[in-house]
Amino acid sequence: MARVLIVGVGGVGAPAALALADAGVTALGLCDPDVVDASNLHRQVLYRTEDVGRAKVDAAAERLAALAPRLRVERLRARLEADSAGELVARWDVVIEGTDAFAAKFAASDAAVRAGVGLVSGSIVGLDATIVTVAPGGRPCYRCVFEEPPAGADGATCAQAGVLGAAAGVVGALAAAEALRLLGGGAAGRAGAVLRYDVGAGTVRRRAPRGRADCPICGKAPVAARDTDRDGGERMAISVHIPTPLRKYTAGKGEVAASGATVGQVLDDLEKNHPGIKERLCDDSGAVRRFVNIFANDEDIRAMQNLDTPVKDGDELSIVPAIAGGEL
Amino acid sequence: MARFRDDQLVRYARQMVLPGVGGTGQERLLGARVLVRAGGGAAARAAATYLAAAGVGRLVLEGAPGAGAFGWGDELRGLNPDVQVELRAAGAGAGEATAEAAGAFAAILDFSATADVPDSPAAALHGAFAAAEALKRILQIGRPAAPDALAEA
Repeated sequence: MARVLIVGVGGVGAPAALALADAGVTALGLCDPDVVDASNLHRQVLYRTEDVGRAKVDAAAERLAALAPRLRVERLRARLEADSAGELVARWDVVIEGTDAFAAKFAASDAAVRAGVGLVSGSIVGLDATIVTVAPGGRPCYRCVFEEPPAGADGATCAQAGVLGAAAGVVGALAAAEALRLLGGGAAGRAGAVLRYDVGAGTVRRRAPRGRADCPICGKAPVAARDTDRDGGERMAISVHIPTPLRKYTAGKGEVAASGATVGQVLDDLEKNHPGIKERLCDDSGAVRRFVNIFANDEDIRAMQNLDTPVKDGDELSIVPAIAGGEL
Repeated sequence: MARFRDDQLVRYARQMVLPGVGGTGQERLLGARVLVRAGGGAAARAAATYLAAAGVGRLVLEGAPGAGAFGWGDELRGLNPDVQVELRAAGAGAGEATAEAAGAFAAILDFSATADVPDSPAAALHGAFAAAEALKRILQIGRPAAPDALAEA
Protein backbone atom coordinates (compact mmCIF):
# COMPACT_ATOMS: atom_id res chain seq x y z
CA MET A 1 0.00 0.00 0.00
CA ALA A 2 3.04 2.24 -0.06
CA ARG A 3 3.24 5.09 -2.52
CA VAL A 4 6.70 6.44 -3.36
CA LEU A 5 7.46 9.66 -5.25
CA ILE A 6 10.77 9.77 -7.11
CA VAL A 7 11.96 13.30 -7.87
CA GLY A 8 14.62 13.20 -10.59
CA VAL A 9 14.60 9.93 -12.55
CA GLY A 10 18.32 10.00 -13.31
CA GLY A 11 21.49 8.40 -12.01
CA VAL A 12 19.99 7.93 -8.54
CA GLY A 13 16.25 7.93 -9.19
CA ALA A 14 16.28 5.45 -12.08
CA PRO A 15 18.01 2.64 -10.14
CA ALA A 16 15.88 3.47 -7.09
CA ALA A 17 12.76 2.97 -9.21
CA LEU A 18 14.13 -0.33 -10.52
CA ALA A 19 14.96 -1.50 -6.99
CA LEU A 20 11.47 -0.63 -5.77
CA ALA A 21 9.58 -2.09 -8.72
CA ASP A 22 9.52 -5.56 -7.19
CA ALA A 23 9.64 -4.59 -3.54
CA GLY A 24 5.92 -4.51 -2.84
CA VAL A 25 5.41 -0.80 -3.47
CA THR A 26 1.98 -0.22 -5.02
CA ALA A 27 2.54 3.09 -6.73
CA LEU A 28 5.53 5.05 -7.99
CA GLY A 29 5.37 8.72 -8.96
CA LEU A 30 8.05 9.82 -11.42
CA CYS A 31 8.81 13.54 -11.44
CA ASP A 32 11.32 14.79 -14.01
CA PRO A 33 11.22 17.47 -16.72
CA ASP A 34 14.07 16.09 -18.84
CA VAL A 35 14.52 13.89 -21.89
CA VAL A 36 16.94 10.96 -22.07
CA ASP A 37 20.40 12.02 -23.25
CA ALA A 38 22.96 9.60 -24.70
CA SER A 39 25.35 10.57 -21.90
CA ASN A 40 22.80 9.23 -19.37
CA LEU A 41 22.95 5.68 -20.71
CA HIS A 42 26.08 4.51 -18.90
CA ARG A 43 24.35 4.83 -15.52
CA GLN A 44 20.60 5.36 -15.92
CA VAL A 45 19.94 1.76 -16.76
CA LEU A 46 16.16 2.13 -16.99
CA TYR A 47 16.77 3.64 -20.42
CA ARG A 48 17.80 1.96 -23.63
CA THR A 49 19.69 3.38 -26.58
CA GLU A 50 16.49 3.93 -28.54
CA ASP A 51 15.02 6.02 -25.69
CA VAL A 52 17.39 8.93 -26.38
CA GLY A 53 15.31 12.08 -26.93
CA ARG A 54 12.19 10.74 -25.21
CA ALA A 55 10.79 12.16 -21.97
CA LYS A 56 12.37 10.30 -19.08
CA VAL A 57 9.05 9.84 -17.32
CA ASP A 58 7.56 8.18 -20.42
CA ALA A 59 10.50 5.85 -21.10
CA ALA A 60 10.77 4.94 -17.42
CA ALA A 61 7.04 4.33 -16.98
CA GLU A 62 6.93 1.98 -19.96
CA ARG A 63 9.96 0.05 -18.82
CA LEU A 64 8.61 -0.31 -15.28
CA ALA A 65 5.23 -1.44 -16.60
CA ALA A 66 6.97 -4.22 -18.53
CA LEU A 67 9.02 -5.29 -15.51
CA ALA A 68 6.30 -5.01 -12.85
CA PRO A 69 2.84 -5.11 -14.46
CA ARG A 70 1.00 -4.64 -11.15
CA LEU A 71 2.87 -1.48 -10.20
CA ARG A 72 0.95 1.78 -10.74
CA VAL A 73 3.16 4.47 -12.24
CA GLU A 74 2.22 8.14 -12.35
CA ARG A 75 4.09 10.43 -14.74
CA LEU A 76 4.78 13.99 -13.61
CA ARG A 77 6.80 15.69 -16.31
CA ALA A 78 7.84 18.73 -14.30
CA ARG A 79 10.64 20.19 -12.26
CA LEU A 80 10.11 20.28 -8.51
CA GLU A 81 9.80 23.95 -7.55
CA ALA A 82 9.78 25.38 -4.04
CA ASP A 83 6.33 26.97 -4.40
CA SER A 84 4.57 23.83 -5.61
CA ALA A 85 6.60 21.18 -3.77
CA GLY A 86 4.24 21.05 -0.80
CA GLU A 87 1.24 20.11 -2.89
CA LEU A 88 3.29 17.56 -4.82
CA VAL A 89 4.87 15.63 -1.94
CA ALA A 90 1.80 15.56 0.33
CA ARG A 91 0.14 12.92 -1.86
CA TRP A 92 2.87 10.33 -1.23
CA ASP A 93 4.05 8.17 1.68
CA VAL A 94 7.75 8.78 1.10
CA VAL A 95 9.84 10.83 -1.34
CA ILE A 96 13.16 9.84 -2.95
CA GLU A 97 15.00 12.90 -4.23
CA GLY A 98 17.88 12.32 -6.64
CA THR A 99 18.21 15.52 -8.66
CA ASP A 100 21.45 17.38 -9.36
CA ALA A 101 20.07 20.69 -8.10
CA PHE A 102 20.57 22.00 -4.58
CA ALA A 103 17.42 24.10 -4.83
CA ALA A 104 15.37 20.94 -5.44
CA LYS A 105 17.09 19.10 -2.60
CA PHE A 106 16.27 21.78 -0.06
CA ALA A 107 12.78 22.35 -1.46
CA ALA A 108 11.95 18.63 -1.38
CA SER A 109 13.17 18.27 2.20
CA ASP A 110 11.39 21.40 3.47
CA ALA A 111 8.15 20.32 1.80
CA ALA A 112 8.40 16.73 3.03
CA VAL A 113 9.02 17.79 6.65
CA ARG A 114 6.08 20.20 6.60
CA ALA A 115 3.84 17.52 5.10
CA GLY A 116 4.99 14.89 7.60
CA VAL A 117 6.32 12.71 4.78
CA GLY A 118 9.64 10.86 4.96
CA LEU A 119 12.37 11.76 2.49
CA VAL A 120 15.56 10.16 1.19
CA SER A 121 17.95 12.42 -0.71
CA GLY A 122 20.76 10.86 -2.76
CA SER A 123 23.74 12.46 -4.52
CA ILE A 124 26.88 11.26 -6.22
CA VAL A 125 29.68 13.31 -7.72
CA GLY A 126 33.01 11.82 -8.69
CA LEU A 127 33.79 9.03 -6.27
CA ASP A 128 31.78 10.46 -3.37
CA ALA A 129 28.17 9.74 -2.61
CA THR A 130 25.90 10.92 0.19
CA ILE A 131 22.45 9.72 1.13
CA VAL A 132 20.46 11.74 3.68
CA THR A 133 17.41 10.07 5.22
CA VAL A 134 14.86 12.39 6.80
CA ALA A 135 12.19 10.78 8.96
CA PRO A 136 8.65 12.23 8.89
CA GLY A 137 8.82 15.56 10.71
CA GLY A 138 12.58 15.81 10.39
CA ARG A 139 14.83 16.31 13.42
CA PRO A 140 17.10 16.24 11.64
CA CYS A 141 16.08 17.29 8.15
CA TYR A 142 18.24 17.96 5.08
CA ARG A 143 18.48 21.62 6.12
CA CYS A 144 19.80 20.58 9.54
CA VAL A 145 22.54 18.58 7.86
CA PHE A 146 23.40 21.11 5.14
CA GLU A 147 22.12 24.50 6.24
CA GLU A 148 22.12 26.16 2.85
CA PRO A 149 23.26 25.51 -0.71
CA PRO A 150 26.99 25.96 -1.29
CA ALA A 151 27.80 29.37 -2.73
CA GLY A 152 30.90 28.57 -4.72
CA ALA A 153 32.52 25.89 -6.79
CA ASP A 154 32.05 23.13 -4.22
CA GLY A 155 28.67 22.42 -5.74
CA ALA A 156 30.41 20.27 -8.33
CA THR A 157 28.30 18.50 -10.94
CA CYS A 158 28.90 15.08 -12.36
CA ALA A 159 29.58 16.56 -15.81
CA GLN A 160 32.75 18.04 -14.35
CA ALA A 161 33.69 15.37 -11.84
CA GLY A 162 32.31 12.28 -13.60
CA VAL A 163 30.44 9.36 -12.10
CA LEU A 164 30.79 5.59 -12.16
CA GLY A 165 27.45 4.19 -13.30
CA ALA A 166 27.42 1.19 -10.97
CA ALA A 167 28.20 3.50 -8.04
CA ALA A 168 25.13 5.58 -8.89
CA GLY A 169 23.28 2.26 -8.86
CA VAL A 170 24.52 1.63 -5.34
CA VAL A 171 23.20 5.05 -4.27
CA GLY A 172 19.81 4.36 -5.87
CA ALA A 173 19.55 0.96 -4.17
CA LEU A 174 20.57 2.46 -0.81
CA ALA A 175 17.97 5.20 -1.25
CA ALA A 176 15.31 2.59 -2.07
CA ALA A 177 16.26 0.55 1.01
CA GLU A 178 16.14 3.66 3.21
CA ALA A 179 12.70 4.53 1.81
CA LEU A 180 11.44 1.04 2.70
CA ARG A 181 12.96 1.41 6.17
CA LEU A 182 10.96 4.61 6.73
CA LEU A 183 7.81 2.94 5.39
CA GLY A 184 8.30 0.04 7.79
CA GLY A 185 7.44 2.34 10.69
CA GLY A 186 8.44 1.75 14.30
CA ALA A 187 11.61 3.18 15.80
CA ALA A 188 13.56 2.50 12.60
CA GLY A 189 11.00 4.51 10.66
CA ARG A 190 11.64 7.56 12.84
CA ALA A 191 15.42 7.55 12.58
CA GLY A 192 17.27 9.93 10.29
CA ALA A 193 20.64 8.98 8.83
CA VAL A 194 23.51 10.17 6.71
CA LEU A 195 25.13 7.43 4.64
CA ARG A 196 28.39 8.11 2.90
CA TYR A 197 29.64 5.84 0.12
CA ASP A 198 33.34 6.31 -0.64
CA VAL A 199 33.53 4.60 -4.02
CA GLY A 200 37.33 4.56 -4.22
CA ALA A 201 37.69 2.92 -0.82
CA GLY A 202 34.62 0.72 -1.27
CA THR A 203 33.15 1.74 2.09
CA VAL A 204 29.61 2.61 3.19
CA ARG A 205 29.34 4.41 6.53
CA ARG A 206 26.12 5.21 8.39
CA ARG A 207 25.98 8.13 10.77
CA ALA A 208 23.27 9.65 12.91
CA PRO A 209 23.19 13.43 12.48
CA ARG A 210 21.63 15.62 15.16
CA GLY A 211 18.76 17.97 14.54
CA ARG A 212 19.37 21.64 15.14
CA ALA A 213 17.28 23.36 17.77
CA ASP A 214 17.32 26.49 15.63
CA CYS A 215 16.50 24.71 12.38
CA PRO A 216 13.93 26.90 10.65
CA ILE A 217 12.12 23.84 9.30
CA CYS A 218 12.08 21.20 12.01
CA GLY A 219 13.69 22.99 14.99
CA LYS A 220 12.76 23.48 18.65
CA ALA A 221 14.13 20.10 19.67
CA PRO A 222 16.82 20.62 22.30
CA VAL A 223 20.25 19.43 21.29
CA ALA A 224 21.70 17.17 23.93
CA ALA A 225 24.82 18.57 25.48
CA ARG A 226 27.84 16.40 25.00
CA ASP A 227 30.18 15.29 27.68
CA THR A 228 33.26 17.27 26.83
CA ASP A 229 35.71 17.14 29.70
CA ARG A 230 38.66 15.95 27.68
CA ASP A 231 41.52 18.36 27.58
CA GLY A 232 44.20 17.34 25.14
CA GLY A 233 47.26 19.50 24.74
CA GLU A 234 49.57 17.32 22.73
CA ARG A 235 49.91 17.15 18.97
CA MET A 236 48.50 13.89 17.70
CA ALA A 237 47.87 12.04 14.44
CA ILE A 238 44.32 12.18 13.15
CA SER A 239 43.11 10.59 9.93
CA VAL A 240 41.17 13.07 7.78
CA HIS A 241 38.87 11.91 4.96
CA ILE A 242 38.91 14.36 2.05
CA PRO A 243 35.94 14.50 -0.37
CA THR A 244 36.56 14.55 -4.13
CA PRO A 245 36.00 18.30 -4.69
CA LEU A 246 38.82 19.08 -2.24
CA ARG A 247 41.32 16.48 -3.37
CA LYS A 248 43.03 18.96 -5.64
CA TYR A 249 44.56 20.33 -2.43
CA THR A 250 45.79 16.92 -1.29
CA ALA A 251 47.39 15.71 -4.52
CA GLY A 252 44.37 13.53 -5.15
CA LYS A 253 44.54 11.76 -1.80
CA GLY A 254 41.24 10.77 -0.17
CA GLU A 255 42.79 10.41 3.24
CA VAL A 256 45.55 12.43 4.89
CA ALA A 257 47.04 12.60 8.38
CA ALA A 258 46.96 15.77 10.45
CA SER A 259 47.50 16.62 14.06
CA GLY A 260 45.85 18.71 16.75
CA ALA A 261 43.99 18.42 20.01
CA THR A 262 40.78 19.91 18.65
CA VAL A 263 39.01 19.84 15.28
CA GLY A 264 40.05 23.48 14.75
CA GLN A 265 43.72 22.67 15.33
CA VAL A 266 43.48 19.73 12.94
CA LEU A 267 42.09 22.04 10.24
CA ASP A 268 44.94 24.52 10.86
CA ASP A 269 47.46 21.71 10.50
CA LEU A 270 45.69 20.56 7.33
CA GLU A 271 46.02 24.08 5.91
CA LYS A 272 49.76 24.10 6.69
CA ASN A 273 50.35 20.99 4.56
CA HIS A 274 47.64 21.64 1.98
CA PRO A 275 47.40 25.42 1.50
CA GLY A 276 44.03 26.71 0.38
CA ILE A 277 41.92 23.90 1.81
CA LYS A 278 40.79 25.70 4.96
CA GLU A 279 39.27 28.55 3.02
CA ARG A 280 37.00 25.99 1.37
CA LEU A 281 35.90 24.67 4.76
CA CYS A 282 35.69 27.81 6.88
CA ASP A 283 34.44 31.33 6.22
CA ASP A 284 36.27 34.62 6.92
CA SER A 285 35.29 34.53 10.58
CA GLY A 286 36.84 31.07 10.92
CA ALA A 287 33.52 29.25 11.38
CA VAL A 288 32.76 26.08 9.42
CA ARG A 289 30.89 26.98 6.26
CA ARG A 290 27.20 26.22 6.44
CA PHE A 291 27.20 23.68 3.62
CA VAL A 292 30.14 21.74 5.06
CA ASN A 293 29.70 19.00 7.63
CA ILE A 294 32.54 17.62 9.66
CA PHE A 295 32.18 14.38 11.54
CA ALA A 296 34.58 13.36 14.30
CA ASN A 297 34.32 9.58 14.65
CA ASP A 298 30.88 9.58 13.06
CA GLU A 299 29.52 12.37 15.28
CA ASP A 300 28.57 15.71 13.78
CA ILE A 301 30.86 18.32 15.38
CA ARG A 302 27.95 20.80 15.40
CA ALA A 303 26.29 18.55 17.94
CA MET A 304 29.43 18.63 20.05
CA GLN A 305 31.72 21.64 20.48
CA ASN A 306 32.12 22.53 16.84
CA LEU A 307 35.75 23.49 16.11
CA ASP A 308 36.59 23.13 19.81
CA THR A 309 35.56 19.46 19.77
CA PRO A 310 38.47 17.52 21.24
CA VAL A 311 40.11 14.78 19.17
CA LYS A 312 42.79 12.27 19.98
CA ASP A 313 45.31 10.00 18.30
CA GLY A 314 43.63 7.51 16.01
CA ASP A 315 40.41 9.50 15.64
CA GLU A 316 38.88 10.01 12.21
CA LEU A 317 37.61 13.27 10.80
CA SER A 318 35.30 13.13 7.79
CA ILE A 319 34.62 16.22 5.72
CA VAL A 320 31.23 15.97 3.99
CA PRO A 321 30.24 18.92 1.81
CA ALA A 322 26.77 19.14 0.38
CA ILE A 323 26.92 17.73 -3.14
CA ALA A 324 24.45 17.48 -5.94
CA GLY A 325 24.87 15.68 -9.22
CA GLY A 326 22.41 12.85 -9.66
CA GLU A 327 22.49 13.83 -13.29
CA LEU A 328 23.35 16.75 -15.46
CA MET B 1 41.88 10.33 -32.22
CA ALA B 2 39.94 7.63 -33.95
CA ARG B 3 39.98 5.41 -30.91
CA PHE B 4 36.30 5.99 -30.19
CA ARG B 5 33.24 6.57 -32.29
CA ASP B 6 31.36 9.82 -31.65
CA ASP B 7 28.46 7.98 -30.04
CA GLN B 8 30.88 6.24 -27.66
CA LEU B 9 32.44 9.54 -26.63
CA VAL B 10 29.00 10.78 -25.62
CA ARG B 11 27.82 7.53 -24.04
CA TYR B 12 30.90 7.14 -21.85
CA ALA B 13 31.66 10.84 -21.29
CA ARG B 14 30.67 10.87 -17.60
CA GLN B 15 32.87 7.96 -16.66
CA MET B 16 35.81 8.87 -18.92
CA VAL B 17 36.06 12.22 -17.12
CA LEU B 18 36.61 10.44 -13.80
CA PRO B 19 40.17 10.86 -12.52
CA GLY B 20 42.30 7.91 -13.66
CA VAL B 21 39.84 6.64 -16.30
CA GLY B 22 40.05 8.60 -19.55
CA GLY B 23 40.38 6.94 -22.94
CA THR B 24 42.80 4.34 -21.62
CA GLY B 25 40.36 3.20 -18.96
CA GLN B 26 37.46 3.07 -21.40
CA GLU B 27 39.54 0.95 -23.76
CA ARG B 28 40.28 -1.43 -20.89
CA LEU B 29 36.55 -1.81 -20.24
CA LEU B 30 35.70 -2.36 -23.90
CA GLY B 31 38.43 -4.98 -24.13
CA ALA B 32 37.52 -6.74 -20.88
CA ARG B 33 35.84 -10.12 -20.53
CA VAL B 34 33.92 -10.62 -17.27
CA LEU B 35 32.28 -13.74 -15.89
CA VAL B 36 29.07 -13.44 -13.86
CA ARG B 37 28.29 -16.65 -11.96
CA ALA B 38 24.76 -17.62 -10.93
CA GLY B 39 23.72 -15.11 -13.55
CA GLY B 40 20.00 -15.81 -13.22
CA GLY B 41 19.49 -14.11 -9.85
CA ALA B 42 18.41 -10.55 -9.14
CA ALA B 43 21.78 -9.40 -7.80
CA ALA B 44 23.60 -10.87 -10.79
CA ARG B 45 21.13 -9.22 -13.13
CA ALA B 46 21.76 -5.82 -11.54
CA ALA B 47 25.52 -6.34 -11.72
CA ALA B 48 25.49 -7.44 -15.36
CA THR B 49 23.28 -4.47 -16.24
CA TYR B 50 25.79 -1.96 -14.85
CA LEU B 51 28.74 -3.78 -16.41
CA ALA B 52 27.00 -3.67 -19.78
CA ALA B 53 26.08 0.01 -19.38
CA ALA B 54 29.71 0.85 -18.58
CA GLY B 55 30.86 -0.80 -21.81
CA VAL B 56 32.47 -4.02 -20.57
CA GLY B 57 33.05 -5.61 -23.97
CA ARG B 58 32.28 -9.24 -23.26
CA LEU B 59 29.98 -10.57 -20.55
CA VAL B 60 29.80 -14.29 -19.86
CA LEU B 61 26.66 -15.11 -17.88
CA GLU B 62 26.69 -18.50 -16.22
CA GLY B 63 23.47 -20.02 -14.93
CA ALA B 64 22.77 -21.29 -11.45
CA PRO B 65 20.93 -24.45 -10.45
CA GLY B 66 17.24 -23.55 -10.29
CA ALA B 67 17.77 -20.06 -11.63
CA GLY B 68 16.09 -21.05 -14.86
CA ALA B 69 16.79 -19.81 -18.35
CA PHE B 70 17.92 -16.28 -18.96
CA GLY B 71 15.38 -13.98 -20.49
CA TRP B 72 17.67 -11.03 -20.62
CA GLY B 73 20.71 -11.60 -22.82
CA ASP B 74 18.92 -9.45 -25.41
CA GLU B 75 18.08 -6.89 -22.71
CA LEU B 76 21.75 -6.30 -22.13
CA ARG B 77 22.51 -6.02 -25.82
CA GLY B 78 19.66 -3.50 -26.15
CA LEU B 79 21.16 -1.50 -23.31
CA ASN B 80 24.51 -1.14 -25.05
CA PRO B 81 25.37 -2.36 -28.56
CA ASP B 82 29.09 -2.36 -27.64
CA VAL B 83 28.57 -5.39 -25.42
CA GLN B 84 28.74 -9.03 -26.47
CA VAL B 85 26.80 -11.37 -24.22
CA GLU B 86 27.58 -15.06 -23.96
CA LEU B 87 25.27 -17.37 -22.00
CA ARG B 88 26.33 -20.71 -20.70
CA ALA B 89 25.06 -23.40 -18.34
CA ALA B 90 26.38 -23.74 -14.80
CA GLY B 91 29.51 -25.83 -14.66
CA ALA B 92 30.42 -25.24 -18.28
CA GLY B 93 34.00 -24.15 -18.64
CA ALA B 94 34.62 -24.84 -14.97
CA GLY B 95 38.34 -24.82 -15.62
CA GLU B 96 38.21 -21.17 -16.60
CA ALA B 97 38.13 -19.87 -13.04
CA THR B 98 41.61 -21.23 -12.50
CA ALA B 99 42.62 -19.79 -15.83
CA GLU B 100 41.79 -16.28 -14.57
CA ALA B 101 45.43 -15.74 -13.68
CA ALA B 102 46.24 -16.42 -17.30
CA GLY B 103 43.90 -13.64 -18.29
CA ALA B 104 40.71 -15.44 -19.28
CA PHE B 105 38.61 -12.93 -17.30
CA ALA B 106 39.34 -9.42 -16.10
CA ALA B 107 36.95 -10.07 -13.19
CA ILE B 108 34.70 -12.85 -11.91
CA LEU B 109 31.52 -12.01 -10.00
CA ASP B 110 30.05 -14.99 -8.20
CA PHE B 111 26.49 -14.70 -6.92
CA SER B 112 26.00 -18.41 -6.15
CA ALA B 113 25.46 -17.63 -2.47
CA THR B 114 22.78 -15.00 -3.12
CA ALA B 115 21.06 -16.51 -6.15
CA ASP B 116 17.86 -17.12 -4.21
CA VAL B 117 17.43 -13.57 -2.89
CA PRO B 118 14.26 -12.21 -4.49
CA ASP B 119 14.25 -8.90 -6.33
CA SER B 120 14.61 -6.21 -3.74
CA PRO B 121 16.75 -3.21 -2.91
CA ALA B 122 19.13 -5.60 -1.11
CA ALA B 123 19.75 -7.63 -4.27
CA ALA B 124 20.07 -4.47 -6.36
CA LEU B 125 22.52 -3.06 -3.82
CA HIS B 126 24.74 -6.13 -3.76
CA GLY B 127 24.71 -6.39 -7.54
CA ALA B 128 25.53 -2.73 -8.17
CA PHE B 129 28.21 -2.74 -5.47
CA ALA B 130 29.89 -5.84 -6.94
CA ALA B 131 29.76 -4.24 -10.39
CA ALA B 132 31.35 -1.04 -9.06
CA GLU B 133 34.13 -3.08 -7.48
CA ALA B 134 34.72 -4.99 -10.73
CA LEU B 135 34.86 -1.74 -12.72
CA LYS B 136 37.35 -0.27 -10.23
CA ARG B 137 39.51 -3.34 -10.64
CA ILE B 138 39.46 -3.20 -14.44
CA LEU B 139 40.03 0.56 -14.43
CA GLN B 140 42.72 0.24 -11.75
CA ILE B 141 41.23 2.98 -9.59
CA GLY B 142 40.69 3.03 -5.81
CA ARG B 143 41.28 0.00 -3.64
CA PRO B 144 39.22 -3.18 -3.13
CA ALA B 145 36.34 -3.12 -0.65
CA ALA B 146 36.46 -5.25 2.49
CA PRO B 147 34.18 -8.33 2.49
CA ASP B 148 31.88 -6.71 5.08
CA ALA B 149 31.74 -3.35 3.27
CA LEU B 150 27.93 -3.26 3.23
CA ALA B 151 27.49 -4.09 6.93
CA GLU B 152 26.32 -0.56 7.77
CA ALA B 153 24.19 -0.17 4.66
